[in-house]
Amino acid sequence: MNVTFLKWSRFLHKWLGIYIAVFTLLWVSELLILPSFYNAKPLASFTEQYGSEPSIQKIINAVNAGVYGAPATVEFSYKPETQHYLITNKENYTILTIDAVTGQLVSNETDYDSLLTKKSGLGWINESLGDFLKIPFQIFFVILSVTGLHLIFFPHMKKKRASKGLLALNPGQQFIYKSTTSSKDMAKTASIGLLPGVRVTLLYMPRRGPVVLSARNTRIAVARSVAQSFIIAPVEV
Amino acid sequence: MSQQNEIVMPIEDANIYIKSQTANALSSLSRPINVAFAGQPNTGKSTIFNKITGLKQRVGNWPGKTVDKKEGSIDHKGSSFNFIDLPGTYGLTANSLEEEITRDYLLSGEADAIIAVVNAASLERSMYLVAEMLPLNLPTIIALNMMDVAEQEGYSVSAEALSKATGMPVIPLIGTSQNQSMSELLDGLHCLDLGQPALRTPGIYPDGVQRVALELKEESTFPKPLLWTAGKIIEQDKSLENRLQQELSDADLKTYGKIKHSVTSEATNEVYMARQQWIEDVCDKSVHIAKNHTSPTDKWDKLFLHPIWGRAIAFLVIPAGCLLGVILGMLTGGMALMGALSVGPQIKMMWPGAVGSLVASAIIPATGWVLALLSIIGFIYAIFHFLEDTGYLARVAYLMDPMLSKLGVDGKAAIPLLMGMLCNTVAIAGSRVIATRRQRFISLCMLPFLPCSGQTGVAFLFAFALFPPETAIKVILGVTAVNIILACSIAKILHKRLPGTHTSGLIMELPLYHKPNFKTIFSGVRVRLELFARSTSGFIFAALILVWAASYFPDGTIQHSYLFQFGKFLEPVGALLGFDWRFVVALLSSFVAKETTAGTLAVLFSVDAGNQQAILEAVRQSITPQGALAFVVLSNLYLPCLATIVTLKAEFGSWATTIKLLICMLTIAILAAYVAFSCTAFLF
Repeated sequence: MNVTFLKWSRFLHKWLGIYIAVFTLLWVSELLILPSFYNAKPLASFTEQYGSEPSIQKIINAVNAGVYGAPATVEFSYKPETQHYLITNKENYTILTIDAVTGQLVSNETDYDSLLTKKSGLGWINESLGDFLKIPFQIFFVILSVTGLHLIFFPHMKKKRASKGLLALNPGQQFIYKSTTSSKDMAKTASIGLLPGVRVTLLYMPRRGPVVLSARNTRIAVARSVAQSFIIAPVEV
Repeated sequence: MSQQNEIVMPIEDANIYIKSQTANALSSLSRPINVAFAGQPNTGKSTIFNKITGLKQRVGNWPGKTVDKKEGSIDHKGSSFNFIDLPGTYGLTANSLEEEITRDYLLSGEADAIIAVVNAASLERSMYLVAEMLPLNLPTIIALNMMDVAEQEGYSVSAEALSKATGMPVIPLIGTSQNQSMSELLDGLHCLDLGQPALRTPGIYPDGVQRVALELKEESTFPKPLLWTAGKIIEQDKSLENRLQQELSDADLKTYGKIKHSVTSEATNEVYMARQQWIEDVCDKSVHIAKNHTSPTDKWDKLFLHPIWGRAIAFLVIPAGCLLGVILGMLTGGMALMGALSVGPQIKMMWPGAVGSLVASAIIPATGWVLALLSIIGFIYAIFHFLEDTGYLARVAYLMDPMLSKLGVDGKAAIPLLMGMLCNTVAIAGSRVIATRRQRFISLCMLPFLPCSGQTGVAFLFAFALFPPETAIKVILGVTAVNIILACSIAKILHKRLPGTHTSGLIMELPLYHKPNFKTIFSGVRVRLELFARSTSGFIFAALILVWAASYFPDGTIQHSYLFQFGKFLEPVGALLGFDWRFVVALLSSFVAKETTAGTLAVLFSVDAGNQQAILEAVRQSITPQGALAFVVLSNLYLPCLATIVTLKAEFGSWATTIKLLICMLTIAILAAYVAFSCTAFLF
């Protein structure tokens, strides 16, 4: 039972870790790339349009007339402490700051907070998808912490056995094929050139998947499970 | 024996050292002589067979099996030879259908002699099959093929020494060479000594096998020759065991049970060691290997088997090959289909009534479909045959194996599975490249779930018509993902449920790279097309006529046809999934070909079939977004087109299995469409 839990802990920790790592990479890339797609564009001088000391009414009229984008996507506010009008466009992710006293454009900036909240985590494909992908992150972090602690406090899982036999060799090494412990593979291996006593060279040993052997000028790909059952002996020099 | 009766072959030319006497030569048989072509895969067996028989070949399937059978007859020096090309097999222990066929044919007693084709560049490996065939006591001639590849690999093989060592005539050949004559091989065959088995190398079985052979009585029901059967019993051949369980009498079954229990793994190993000893003796006497010679195969493999570059190349080459095949097929047969479909209205005008409608709507389109399928299949086969002949395709299979082995199929299945994304029919017909029956069955069950280009086309049309572009792409990607996930799930379930395999994983030869032979490729394509035309085209004609009749009768319009009535009958199912009877009828008619969905809807919405915009507008007004999604899901998942079903039956070899799979597909499709309709309201 404990081993099963530990297996699950290791499995979840590994794959959630990979998922979060990939997602973090994606996020960092988005942080770098997304703002360039939503750059605030320079606007004409406000004094020319509204004169100095533009009234709130004038700005509201301009907002409603769609001067700063579709009215439904524009939010207007006044900051009394700085005496600035703030026009936030939720579609373009820009914040326009206008000095209420002089009518001058103070800044025209990208609204990074909103942009990254909405568009990161594949939100640029679909905002609902982005929201959906971000929700489980809190749960994932909890699972990651719990499984991490579990693995720290109960590290009793048996270590993976070191590779033996053919799988312990390096590419280029030679060996004598003796037999296989898997009786059902015996005929097939023999017919393809792996007969008892034949000298074999290990050609390729990828991290995953079949290994490639060379016996009597025949290249043979064998699954790791098959290769593991081979009984081999060193080549006598 | 008098001197006149002897045929003496000049040793330096023909490398036949055994003098044959006409009285005991193969040609002395007064009836047509059956000669089996046996050889391991990648020995150039088919090339030699094609060179000998030319175009005088008969193709078909082995009785009750879905494995190609090729035969060819020729007359040579007054004797009539009937050649049978046996499936390529590494040995006579039947791990696969092909090996079972080869073994059963050689044991059947039908063959009078064997031409054993061996690869000079991998002689030791090729001789294994010869070693296995020795106890069959059949006169054998060795065709030592691929002498050019051997030279390229630094191997020098002496045919004369090989002949002396084996006791069999040996003819060196370069099968791919235009100038290679087959007359030496035919001469050798003509004077092949019928008494050769008794004269050649003594039996290669250890004492244990010979003792067991003595226990099996001559009059028993054990397959003959008994020495061969004894060897296989000691080898613990599972396939032979199944055969013996069915064929042996009760008394012999008891004897078999007794022997079987006394067999030890040491005894089994001795059988293999004896064969190894024989092969080593033979090759030591006949093969010389150049020192410090670098094989070109090793150089190429550094690139093609590279874990990253090798996969990148495979992912480029295989889809490009499929695409090229489809483009070439569409440019030829596709044009025939378009032509056939476009003349329909003129024929109907010239020839009003049921006959004109039958010709325009069923006969001509069926001809067009068959031509289109034949040309696409032909080109795709030619491209894949070319890749296989060079030795590259085996590398693709090797690279894909880690991904596919979890689904119960090995890397070889990658090719038909990739083809399936273009055309299910072609892919199903091409599934014969897969080695074992189990893997082929799993692949055949997976393939109809993969969206073919026709289904993807329908998905594109409806998704872009009914949803905004952003949503449409998501719908297409989502539906394709569902298709692939379902195909993989089916494979996974079958992998768990089906009885285990004879092997515990991939064991596959990666052949040496060599020059392909275009005549062999052409012949292979011709055989495939002939088989497809024979097995499938009749069904396509019959089914199209049936669907036409259902959509024409009783009064000549689809709006009042039996198909319409059936669609109306199924309307409750459509209502459950969010669309009306017209969509149900469109789905039913797409049974002929997925591409016909839009045309049927055009007829049912009473708009011009050529005006796609009008069709879309009419469809848009009669269906909700959820209903449209359910329709796209159902169209992508429910029954494959008719040609696919017919090909599926031909490959399964059984209507029962085909129908079970189709029922399963239909159920899954309706459930998936229901889920798409009822659970996706939040998306729209």
